[in-house]
Amino acid sequence: MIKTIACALLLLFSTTLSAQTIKGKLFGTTDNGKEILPGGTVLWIGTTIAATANENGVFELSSEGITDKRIVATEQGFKTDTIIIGDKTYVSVILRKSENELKSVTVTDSRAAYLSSNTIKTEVINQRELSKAACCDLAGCFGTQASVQPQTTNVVTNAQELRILGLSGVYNQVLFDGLPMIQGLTYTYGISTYPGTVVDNIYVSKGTTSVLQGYESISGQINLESKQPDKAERIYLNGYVNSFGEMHLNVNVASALGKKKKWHSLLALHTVQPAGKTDGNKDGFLDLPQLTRYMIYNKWRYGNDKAKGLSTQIGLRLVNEKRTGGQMNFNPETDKGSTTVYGQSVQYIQPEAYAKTTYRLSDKNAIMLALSGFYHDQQSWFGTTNYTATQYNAYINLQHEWQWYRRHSLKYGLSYRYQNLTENISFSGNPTGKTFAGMYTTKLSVPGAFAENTFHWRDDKIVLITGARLDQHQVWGKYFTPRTMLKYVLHRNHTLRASAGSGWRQVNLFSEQNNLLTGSRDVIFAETLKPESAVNWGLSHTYTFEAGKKVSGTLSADFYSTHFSNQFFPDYDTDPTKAIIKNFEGISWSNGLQVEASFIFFKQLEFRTAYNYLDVYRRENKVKVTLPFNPRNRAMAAISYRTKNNQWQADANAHWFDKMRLPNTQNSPVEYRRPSYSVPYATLNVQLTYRIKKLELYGGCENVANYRQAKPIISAENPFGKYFDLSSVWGPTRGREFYFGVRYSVK
Amino acid sequence: MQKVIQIILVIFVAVFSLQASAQTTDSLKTATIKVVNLHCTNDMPTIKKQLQNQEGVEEISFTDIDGDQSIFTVSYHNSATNQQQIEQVIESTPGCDDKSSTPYKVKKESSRKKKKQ
Repeated sequence: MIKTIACALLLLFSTTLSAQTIKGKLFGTTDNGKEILPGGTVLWIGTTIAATANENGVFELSSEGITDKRIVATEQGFKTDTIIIGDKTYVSVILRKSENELKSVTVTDSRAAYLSSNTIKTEVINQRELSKAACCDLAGCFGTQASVQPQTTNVVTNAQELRILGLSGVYNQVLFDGLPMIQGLTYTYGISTYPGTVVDNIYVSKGTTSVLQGYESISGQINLESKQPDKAERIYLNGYVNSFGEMHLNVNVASALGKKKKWHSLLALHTVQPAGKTDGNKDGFLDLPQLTRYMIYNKWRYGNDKAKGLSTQIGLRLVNEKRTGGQMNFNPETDKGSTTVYGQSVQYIQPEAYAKTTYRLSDKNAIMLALSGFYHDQQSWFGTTNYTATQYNAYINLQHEWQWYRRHSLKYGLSYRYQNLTENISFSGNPTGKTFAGMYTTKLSVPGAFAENTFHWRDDKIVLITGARLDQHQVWGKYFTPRTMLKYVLHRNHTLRASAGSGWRQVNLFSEQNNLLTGSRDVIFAETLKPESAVNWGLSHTYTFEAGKKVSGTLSADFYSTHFSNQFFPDYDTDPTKAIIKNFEGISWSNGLQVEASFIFFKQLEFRTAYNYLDVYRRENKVKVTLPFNPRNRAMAAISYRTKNNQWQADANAHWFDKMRLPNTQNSPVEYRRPSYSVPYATLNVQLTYRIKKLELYGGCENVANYRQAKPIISAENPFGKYFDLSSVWGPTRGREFYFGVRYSVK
Repeated sequence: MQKVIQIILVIFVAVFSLQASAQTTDSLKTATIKVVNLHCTNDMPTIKKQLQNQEGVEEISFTDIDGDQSIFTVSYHNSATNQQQIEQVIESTPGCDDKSSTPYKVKKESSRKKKKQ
């Protein structure tokens, strides 16, 4: 009898036990059916008992003590849904795409650039958008965008920076896989070293952004997300040649490794071989430098950071680059430092490594450690100026993520930034009497602590991010950096966003002000430079609409204002033969307005147009001085058409630039003076793409109208004279450029 | 009397268990499926991705390619799917190279072999 009762109780108990958890799978609808949603969240209604879907979309919830058997399933970009579980122990949950975020979440090849649904207004430039232009390197990837403006900083070596809100590239933060790899010496040529073929998405945000990535990013942030080894094409080849003879070759190979295929690896090789010598404007200088670059990049990925347990991502990169520009007959082997033939020769090697490791303890808790570092060794000649420099950089970030209540989450942690930049400057000849030869060391050692909270209210209609960080500069002491961002979904089609916060950064003088090395002016150090600091705020409105299945579009407008409390400008005006280095603590502002409209017709025709208004100035002796190279008005339009079978695609984009204020040359002799303002100009770029199975052929023309700035180099006929000046370049200098390329991919 | 009580108790537990099992009819099963006509290492991840998007499929693992075949171990919830459906999904997976073809085949064990076992 007792045995029978015991058996019965055991049977009863085991039945009860098995009902203590429910399992399920979370899906989201797609254009082709449904797909699992790893990272999606489910929780028992009215409780904080939640679970996150793993890499297979599977979730498991304890039902102990649950009386109301309904679960709430959420995932960004999908409509939150409540599902009655009742007595079921297994359930499939399918979330429908949120109409409000229909055009802003799912990244697929069928859609080009779009606005993300992030709390911070973020433009996402994906692979499809990148394929609309040659996009040989990062600077060439913004041809169909209005927020980022590539600007040449040295016409001889074709060094470029990416400007946001009309402010120098040093005020925005360029991240690679979320890590700060472009700083100091890597800033000067760094953006060109990332070929478009390793980039999966580019995220562009204006204004101050999250404090998690540091105290910089005053005017915005550009985050390059490299291709994920587990999702990248198994083999990808891209070859390119332009009408100047410059050739690019890229090879990517991705594979799964290990017994259980848990490791994924991507190996990318990239090379650029130099163009022939061209001097279209007959000023005796090469129109574009002779560039030789080799890059090898290897990325590893293990696990999924949304699933419990360990996941990691490791990147290794090596860049070796040589640029030679200057007079047509300059030979870098024999003429370095020559006082008779002018040339610039830059050669550097740059190994980099980074790792991001996450250990997810539970659905609500995760610890993340990010490490990155690079070394840069540069040997350069700028005319008679010899510049050799080395830089060591390290970055450590340890953070804990804690979902403390429903979807409210807190991220906090510690960081450390280290930089040791050593620059040696000497002159092989010194006809203008420069006095700044010597060794310069710029160090940065900044430990910091940070915390950022994200609140989600009313089914994500209101999302508020509040964050702050405290950093200790080794010389200038503590810096407090608060930032906040708000997103309010007013209506399913209307989203309002606002952001405000501060930022600061240390100046790396010669790598950021290349003109000091290339020009004829002497550099006078009047005082030690303090870190630059600024406050930025911004507002934006986004309206998305769909007219049936045939037409959809996005209209958006944003305004950002940046107010510097200390900004560095070399003083070129006090003495025309000198650049005086001192802090500028007067008023310095940037106000930027952007209005943009994009439409998609019948999923085949895309049209985007944008207008930018920029007012970037500083006040000197109560006089408003507009900063050079910023057109007050700028407009762009891009159109893309592809046939239904996606075999043919035609793209065109046009950019119009209003006049820009130029550096003051009125103190120079008449023959070396330039007008105070440039003339308005426009450029047109076109491309045609043909796809056949795994092969893609593309060809195009940049600067179709062959517009070029007349005499971009002042005193080009006398490059060793005291009026030789490379700092007045405001427009195209190389004229029309044809190109042809081929892409081959095996998925 | 004791026997009667035992019989009542057993019937009660049986009925209760049946009722309970009616509420929780789901159980986790494992299927071992031999897939043939594979030609490269990316075929298995392609099939895995297709299976991941099926209702009821909880976990998928596979062996290294051996000749042109690999063995998939699929755990699934029998309330949501079954082995036949899983095999159909595998055989309807587009090839990783040529999306217009469905090259993967499930190799069934012969009935004689099954009997031997």
